Order: sequence, then structure tokens, then C-alpha cells
Amino acid sequence: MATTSVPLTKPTAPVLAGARSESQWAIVLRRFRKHRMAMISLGALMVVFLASLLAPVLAPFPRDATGLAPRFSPPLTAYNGQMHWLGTDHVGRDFFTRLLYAARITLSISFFAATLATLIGMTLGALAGYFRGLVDSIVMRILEFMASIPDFPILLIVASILASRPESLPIPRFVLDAMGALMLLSPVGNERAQVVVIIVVLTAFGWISAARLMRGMVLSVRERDFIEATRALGASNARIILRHVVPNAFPPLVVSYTLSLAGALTAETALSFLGIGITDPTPTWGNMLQFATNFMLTDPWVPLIPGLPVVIASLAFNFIGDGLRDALDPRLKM
Amino acid sequence: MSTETLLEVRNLVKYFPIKGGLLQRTVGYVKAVDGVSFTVRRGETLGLVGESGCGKTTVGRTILRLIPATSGEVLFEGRDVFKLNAREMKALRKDMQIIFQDPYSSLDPRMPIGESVAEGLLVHGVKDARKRNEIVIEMLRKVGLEDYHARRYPHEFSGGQRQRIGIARALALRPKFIVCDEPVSALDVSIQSQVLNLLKDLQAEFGLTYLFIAHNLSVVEHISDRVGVMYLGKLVELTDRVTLFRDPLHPYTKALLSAIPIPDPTAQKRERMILQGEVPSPVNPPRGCRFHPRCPFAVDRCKVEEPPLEELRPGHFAACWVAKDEVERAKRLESVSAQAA
Repeated sequence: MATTSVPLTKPTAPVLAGARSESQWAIVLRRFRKHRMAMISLGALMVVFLASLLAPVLAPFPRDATGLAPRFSPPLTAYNGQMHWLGTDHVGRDFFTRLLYAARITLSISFFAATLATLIGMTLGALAGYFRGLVDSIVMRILEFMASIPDFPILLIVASILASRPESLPIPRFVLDAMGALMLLSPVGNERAQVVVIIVVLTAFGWISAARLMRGMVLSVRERDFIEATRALGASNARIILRHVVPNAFPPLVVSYTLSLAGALTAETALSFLGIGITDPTPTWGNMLQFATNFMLTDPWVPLIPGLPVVIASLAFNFIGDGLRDALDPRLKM
Repeated sequence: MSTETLLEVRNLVKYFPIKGGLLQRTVGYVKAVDGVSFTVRRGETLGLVGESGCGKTTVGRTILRLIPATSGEVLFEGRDVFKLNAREMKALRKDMQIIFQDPYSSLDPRMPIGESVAEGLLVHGVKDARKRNEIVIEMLRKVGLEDYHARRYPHEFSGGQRQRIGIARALALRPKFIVCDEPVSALDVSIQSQVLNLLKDLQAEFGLTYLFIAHNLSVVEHISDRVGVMYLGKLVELTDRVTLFRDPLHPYTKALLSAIPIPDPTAQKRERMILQGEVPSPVNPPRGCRFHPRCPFAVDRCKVEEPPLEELRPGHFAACWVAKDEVERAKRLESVSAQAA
């Protein structure tokens, strides 16, 4: 080391100064916090999420209890000394109570559908992009097949067949039990099976965009020198994929994940609205909206009660996705 | 420096298939490396020069089996690298490392650099995190960085610093042989010499052997013991540094040398040998000598028969009919005058 005694940086206070370095995720968090709409959305979603989590505590009535107050009581109606904050629906059930339970069900379904779809899509996309060749061909042909058929009509058909006869899909008991416990569903009847079927259907159609995105990212990441360097160190493919390829392909996947949460939410709502998703008495924002629209002309405020949460939640997911996109883009100076 | 051979490359060939048409059939090949042979002695630096696209980088990567060779053999300490199974290859990777040209893409941006340097150790079974950390810090110091840098991310470093990190990563496994793939081409001139001197110091300290790939002749002259010149997938000349720069045999080498700028505005301009035309496509290289369409000395034989790389003078290999004739004529003259005297 005789000739290279030029120190690159003179540490003023050794080791401690600058010892804490900002990781890339810390930078992303800092930038995300500057995105006002995204932060507001995050706050709004947290409120909805907490409310749904505390549904049994917050709800003033049992979920399906009828005959409490006259049907279509307007918001803030007190009946028998009990307050109906958001009024009652077409059979006199408390809207506020059902909205809380519905939030729990709808949010859970969109969470599971979007998460499963993204995980499956990421895995397939990563394998296809990294290994190329036969794996790539097979995954891409399936993907193209799925992408070339219009998904919503197929979704309608498949969902209507499966949701009306959920027993035709063999679902393990523990899944049913877990979902039932999570969404506070009754173990009798096919409430629980319906929910699982909807998740499966949404996942089956949701993985495509994540897979395509992941494959594209992996194709570009795998050509970079640090992948080659890691291979030269003797690392296995599994290590290269998990430690280097996936973390580097991750940012756009995070954005796509938040957007697919919104997508799953609206898709579930749409299915339930059309009456082929989850059916009454299990409340979801979608089927509450469906009944509400029948009485729109006489009681125009009714559709707003389940409608607004749908709008707010899906907008919030989109804004968060937007904020993340900006925060994750290193070219954008904020 | 010993004369013991560490690495021997025999007739290395790498063709990249060109896929085309609806069915992605192979419609041709890019003949990136087309029969290259050379040896690298233990402890020396073999420079490999040539212009962009001549296949020098491909040579480096196929030697390390980062891309599969089409044919040929690479013997590392007598063992054929291409015939090793996965486990043997992994073990050998400890001995053969690579330093990349682009310091901006050779480090994982999502990993603190200490982890990047430690990764090889982890892969090769250094399970103790404290031990790994010790080695990382030792390596960082060796390349002129500080301990606390280990926790930082690549984007917090300059190009020269990143190149040092790349060197530390390669060095952590204590390799015997390092392919330096244009390690200073992407750096500022002021940083280049620092990194070159660092490489030299590390070579002396660890007894490293380098295959130094570059297109900058001054850099190669600075660091190499011997130099090979490549043109269009072929090695055209190979000899020790002093001979190559003072007395080149191949016309292509002569043209390259005449293009080195002299960093002295008062100096006389040297006589430039300007080559006509472009480098031909490696998909469809010229018949005969690959250099003949651009060679000012080409004779008829050059157009039909490919010159082999031959030892024209002791330790001086060149692949050129004209040079061969010249050397032989000179030898005859010498012997005639010796007889006369």
C-alpha cells in the first residue's frame, strides 16, 4: 500500500460520524411522507381498517338483527333509546353495524386476493424472467392466454357458478375456519365458502399483471453486472434471485400491489353488486349497494352509505400507489 | 515472477447465436471469440487489448464460466475449468474472481457494501458473522476505505470508491487469479492511476495474477508484464510489454500504437498509421487474415489463408504472414552476415 496512500475521505470523528446510513427504504419513506394525498389516504385507510378490526366492539347491534327500527330510518334516528347513526336498511338492520362488518369482509377479501395474486405473479414472473427458456415460454403462454380473454365476463361466469355452489371447489377446512374467524362469519350455511371462492376467483385473474411486471423487471435486473459478480462469487441461483433480483425488481411491484388492492376491492364490490358474489345476509359494501340502489328513487341518501366507503377506499389505495410510485422513482427529485 | 503457468487457454471459441424469424431459429452466429490460445503465468499481469467488440471481455467471462464457451479448454492449475461439476466449480470460484468495468452497475444498490463484500464469504461457508465482519473491514482498509463505510449503500460513493469496493469484494475470497475487465475505463483520469496503483500493490501483497482487459494502451503499458492484442475474435500478437511497445510485429498493433496520444504539446507528432474502413462484422468475418481488408501491407496470401499465431521471435507471438516473412528475411540476412564475418 505504498503508492496508494491517498485516503478517500478523512473521517473527522472516526466510526461514529456518518455511521448511520440511510437505507433505500428509509429514503423512500421520507419521500412518501411528503406526498400529502397519499398520507391523507393512508390515514383514512387506517381509520377504516381500525374500525373494521374493532367491528364487534364498535357495532351497536348484532350484524343481522332486524326489527330494530322502521326500514329506511334516516341517519341519526334514535329508536327505543338506541341510536342508529346511519339509519336502517330495507329490512330495518342497522346500517352502521353492517357497514363495519362489511368493511372487515371486503377489506379482507381484497387483501387476500391482491396479496395472493401478487405473490403468485411475482414468483412466476421471477422464474420466467430469470431462467428464460422453457419456463419462460410456458408461463408466458399461460399468461397470454389469460390476458387475451376478456376477464370480467369470465369472472362473472366463473364466480356465479362457484359462488352458487361453493362445495364444487374443495376448500380445506382450516382455510374455512380461519377465514370465518377473521371475517366473523357464521359457520353454518355457505357464507365462508363463498368468501373463499371469491378470493380464489379474483386471485386467478389477478396474478397476470404482477407476473408480467415482475418478468420485465427481472429481465432488466439480471443483465446487470452485480448479478454476474454474485455468480462469480459462487452464489446459487436461489440466493441470486432472493437476495439480489427480487429486491431490485421490487419497487414497481409495491406500486402494482397497492393498485391491485384497489382493483380487488372494486372487483369484489362489482361482483357482489351484480348479485353473484357474496349474498345477503353476509354484508359487503357491494351487496349493500345493490339493495340500496333499488330504493334510490324514494330514498336517495341510501346508496351513499355503502357507496362512499367504496369510493374512499379505492381512491385511497390509488393515491397511496401514486405516492409510492413517486417515492420509489429515484429520478424524481423531491 | 515465476515462469510457472497458472492459467492456460486453448483454442477458446465463443459464438453467440443470432435468433431470428417467427420461430426464433438460429440464423447465424456472432463469432465473438474464435480460437484464442494463451497462457498466464503465476504472478504476472497479462494485458489484453483491442477495440470495442473484439471479444476481449467475452474471453474474460468465458474463462470464469460466467458465459458458457462454445468450445476450447481453459486449464487452471492444470484442471479443465469447463469439465468441473457444480460443486467443484463453486470451490474453484474462490480462486478466480472478476472486477467489472462499470462501478455503477457492479454493486447491488439495495445492499450495504459491507454485505456485498461479505457475500462471497457467506457463500463459501464462513458462518461466523464476526469473522466475516473482520475480513470485510480488513479488505476495506486494504483498498483504502474506512471501517464505517461498510454500512453505507453504493449510491453514497463515488465511482472510484465503488471500484475499490468491487476490488474488495473480489479480494475477500483470497483468489489467486482476477480478471480485471476494464477496471479503470469508466473512471476519471485522475482516479485511474490511483486504482491502477492499488491493483499493483495488492498484486504484490497477495501474489495475485491478473488478466487485465483494457482498450487504453497507456493503462496496459503501465500495469502489464505481457500484452496480448485482439482483433475481431482473434489474438493477433502476444509478447512482453517492452517488446510490444518498442518493436511490434503485427500491422494492427503498429496502427494501435501510433494512435496513442503523446501528452506533450511541444513533442513532434509521431507518424500516424491511419486504418481505412471499419472493423468488419464478427457475424461474417473476412476470409483469410481477418485484418487484411484494412491492412496496408496485405499481400495475396493474406486474402485466402489465415495466419496462425506463431512464435516468430523468442517469446514474441504474432499472427501475420508479412511479419513472418520479414522476420525470416532478417534472420537469413543475419546468418549470411554472420557467415561473412
